[in-house]
Amino acid sequence: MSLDNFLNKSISRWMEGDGPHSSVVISTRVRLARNFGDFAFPGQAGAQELEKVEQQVRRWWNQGGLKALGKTSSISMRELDENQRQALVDQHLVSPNLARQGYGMVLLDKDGSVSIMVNEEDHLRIQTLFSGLQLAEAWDLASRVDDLFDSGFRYAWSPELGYLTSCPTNVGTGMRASVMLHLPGLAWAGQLPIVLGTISKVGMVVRGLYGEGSESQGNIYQISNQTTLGQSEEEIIEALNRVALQVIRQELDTRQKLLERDGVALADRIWRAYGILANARVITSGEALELLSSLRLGIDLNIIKGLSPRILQELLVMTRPGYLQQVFGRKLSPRERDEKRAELIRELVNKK
Amino acid sequence: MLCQNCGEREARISITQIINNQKTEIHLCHQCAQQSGHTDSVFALHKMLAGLVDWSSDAVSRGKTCPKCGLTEVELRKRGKFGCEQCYATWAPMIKTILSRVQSRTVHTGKVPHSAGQQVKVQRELETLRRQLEEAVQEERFEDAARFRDRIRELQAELKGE
Repeated sequence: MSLDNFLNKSISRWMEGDGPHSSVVISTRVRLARNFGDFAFPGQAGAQELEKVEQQVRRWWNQGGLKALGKTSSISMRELDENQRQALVDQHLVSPNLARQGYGMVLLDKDGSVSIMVNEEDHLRIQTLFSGLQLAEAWDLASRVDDLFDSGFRYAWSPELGYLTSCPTNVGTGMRASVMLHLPGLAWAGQLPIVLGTISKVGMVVRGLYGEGSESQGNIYQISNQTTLGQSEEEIIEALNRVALQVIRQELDTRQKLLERDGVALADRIWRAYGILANARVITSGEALELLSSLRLGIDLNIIKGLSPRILQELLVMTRPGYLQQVFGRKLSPRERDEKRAELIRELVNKK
Repeated sequence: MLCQNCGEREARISITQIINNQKTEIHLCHQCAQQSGHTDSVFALHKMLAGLVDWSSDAVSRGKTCPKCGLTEVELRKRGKFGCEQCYATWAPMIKTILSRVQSRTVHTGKVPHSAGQQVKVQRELETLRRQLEEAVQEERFEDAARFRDRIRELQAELKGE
């Protein structure tokens, strides 16, 4: 896939929304932090050394280092303007940090399942992104990509501490596995504080979609492993999977209970959200997210028919400021963004 | 209160994180909180790390500089991030303290890279086998024990041969 495709369309594989348990789990992500033994870590390296790392990775890539993944592309952050960088962030293919710092590069496979950031906080950040709950699959693919680099470079690694990383919170496996969950049922039933509180007691971290814990961000939460040292990758994956499955069951049970207790009130809330999304002329991203959450629940409960459930993740990405500006090809003022966002949403919601 | 990340805008969002019973709170503006989405970096870890170690009492490593990358202890304290693989040896005692507080255990049991050599892999397998052998003997599963013993001998011979 060309760079243009990545930037202009939201067709990353994870957005298809067809993975297991996709009525609750939006996506699964595994990220591995890796460093090369022969270079200073990016935060300490000078401009020359950073360039050398990128050169070496580029040369290795040119010689077919990632050939096993099929067609891949290599993008230098220096070549992108601000909007293009932000569009990659909105698709979860690069981190906000990499976009902001202005140097480094990213290697992408053809459908956005694999992205490798070079010279972010660590020399390599190998990320795999899957739709639905697919932790074992995501780890397996990340580990295979890791093996490819491993045969071309000497990693910073110690028998006692494992993979050495810039930040000591990543040392060991260097792995952060996370699942993004849509929990409108638990949120509406007021159960979220209890459920999320329990999760943080079993060694997992819970975050809102954009870091904060507010409910107004589309009822979307990320759960990930807290520590990286002392457990094997498989043990971490297994534990997270168990926790995710439990939350999924509770969410689905709660949705049923809400339906049984007062189905009309539930349907009313969902149809009101639909009404606004289908007709609004100006909408902020916060309001859009909240309403999209209701709309998506309506689709999952078969109250709203004819719309694809993936409308949530598509609009999640497409209504972000960077993405909007990329689609409309210029910098937009906040007010213009709210108008364009409403326009895009109307188009998608009324398509049925 | 001002945002603890940019120091410019009013803080509107508070994030509380608990790692190994250590509670940390950070206050961010909307913008910085949004930018932190999908990364854990804005959760100003460097600020937290500085509080994890009683730096001044660690006389051994005070004022040290990493011989390989030139990172100074002053900078390390400021950034909370290491500069190269050698840093982990340079600040070994302090790293132990940090890890015991931010991680669940302090010894890696996960993946071994090929570049670390076959030897580490064999040693790792040996450790596992010895543990299994002990368990098998205790539980009087002697057939299993014999199997583990034979495999241990094989691997030990392999290590010597290298």
